[in-house]
Amino acid sequence: MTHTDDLLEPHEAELRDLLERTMTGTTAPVELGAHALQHGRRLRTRRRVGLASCAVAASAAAALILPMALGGGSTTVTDPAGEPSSSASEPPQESPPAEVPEGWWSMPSVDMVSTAEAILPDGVTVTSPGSLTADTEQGGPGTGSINAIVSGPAGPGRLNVMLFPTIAGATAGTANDASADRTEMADGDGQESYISCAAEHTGQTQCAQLRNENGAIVGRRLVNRSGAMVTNEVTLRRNGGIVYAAAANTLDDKWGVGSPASAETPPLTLDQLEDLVRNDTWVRPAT
Amino acid sequence: MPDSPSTDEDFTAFVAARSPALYRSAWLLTTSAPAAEDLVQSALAKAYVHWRKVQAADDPAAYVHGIVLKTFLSERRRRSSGEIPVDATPDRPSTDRDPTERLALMAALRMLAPLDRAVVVLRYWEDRSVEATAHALRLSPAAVKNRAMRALARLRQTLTDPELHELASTEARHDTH
Repeated sequence: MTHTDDLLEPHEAELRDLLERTMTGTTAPVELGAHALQHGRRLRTRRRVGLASCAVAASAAAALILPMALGGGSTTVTDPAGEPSSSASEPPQESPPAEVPEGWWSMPSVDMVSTAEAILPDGVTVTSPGSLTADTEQGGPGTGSINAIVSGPAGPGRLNVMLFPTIAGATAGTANDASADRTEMADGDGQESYISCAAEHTGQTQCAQLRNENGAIVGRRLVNRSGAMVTNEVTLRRNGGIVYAAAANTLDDKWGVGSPASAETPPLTLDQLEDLVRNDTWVRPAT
Repeated sequence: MPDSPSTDEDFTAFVAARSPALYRSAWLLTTSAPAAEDLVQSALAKAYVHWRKVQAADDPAAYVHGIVLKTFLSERRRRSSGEIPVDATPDRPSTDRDPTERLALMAALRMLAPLDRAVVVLRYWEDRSVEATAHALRLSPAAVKNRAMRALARLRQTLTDPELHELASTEARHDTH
């Protein structure tokens, strides 16, 4: 530290001495670094999920739906509290999303469209695959996400499917599960906000938890209504990752509050979305 | 790539080198060791997310100190009560020979408004100039001087209060048993 004795009044110097005297010998807990690293990794993953949500539904209004629906999306993790203001502390700019470890969640978007087409319920078809390129500066083929236009008995609308690793708590990992090896991060609580109904939502929201045979929460079914916009969404934890699917009654690429409705209801019901996320094709390792 | 081994190593090395200073500042800001741990952990996690920016900063340590400060002030604003959320109080042996003076200081600091406390910490613990303190807290230099003067007067008054010392001594005896 650079002391500024010459600028301090005597009573100010006294306080400084008192502070130094009382804090001498105090040390930071040794586990602080490890905990910070774990916490940082979780935050980073959550942020990536938020950014991925924004890529498909990132109008200002959409930011009120999807990222929050994912629990701790970008609005949470880009908290300005984390952005210092001095010149040496310029607010962090948006940096590219973290590179995701390889796994079933790295399925190419082209394959995801094919998969969706194969497992969509009868009468529902993909009429436009949407963008299949990565939403990054580098571009290239997209992976782990699609935002297609589908049409069915309920009318046309959007289908958004995302695959991502949970990082924390790869409890259902398999031998082929890349994240199962990441035991150092398996503290189990980082993924809960993605699947919990406790997250805050805007608009009228109905949410129900999905549980496994042991009663543990493994996902959620959620309906969000904002004006004429209705979004059905199912999130399910699977093999160290999460499969997320949402259907909305709009053709807007980045839908949100105010998006024109293309039908009265989304093109897929919650039951149909749940069938979709439970399909094993998503979690099959690449061959 | 924040998940890469080299980044994790860099981050871990940074934490090892800087966490004592961050922790002490956080302790003075929060007046509680467990709350300081929470605060530093939150700030470091944010630093990890923005690790490239931290590394590219003119002064990475100052950058992270800034995150600690912002997080503290933001948390204080969000919290309606004075309750400090702590997952669990660590059962850690004290290395203090006589923690009474520190307990009294923390009790006195607790009497200050969070922003006044931040002024005290930046100005007299981190030895920042009036201008630097004002810049960090987005205050005018005059406001920093006024707050510092007010805080000093309050601290002096509180620290000379015999009841406070008695309370601190009791807490210290409790801590050492």
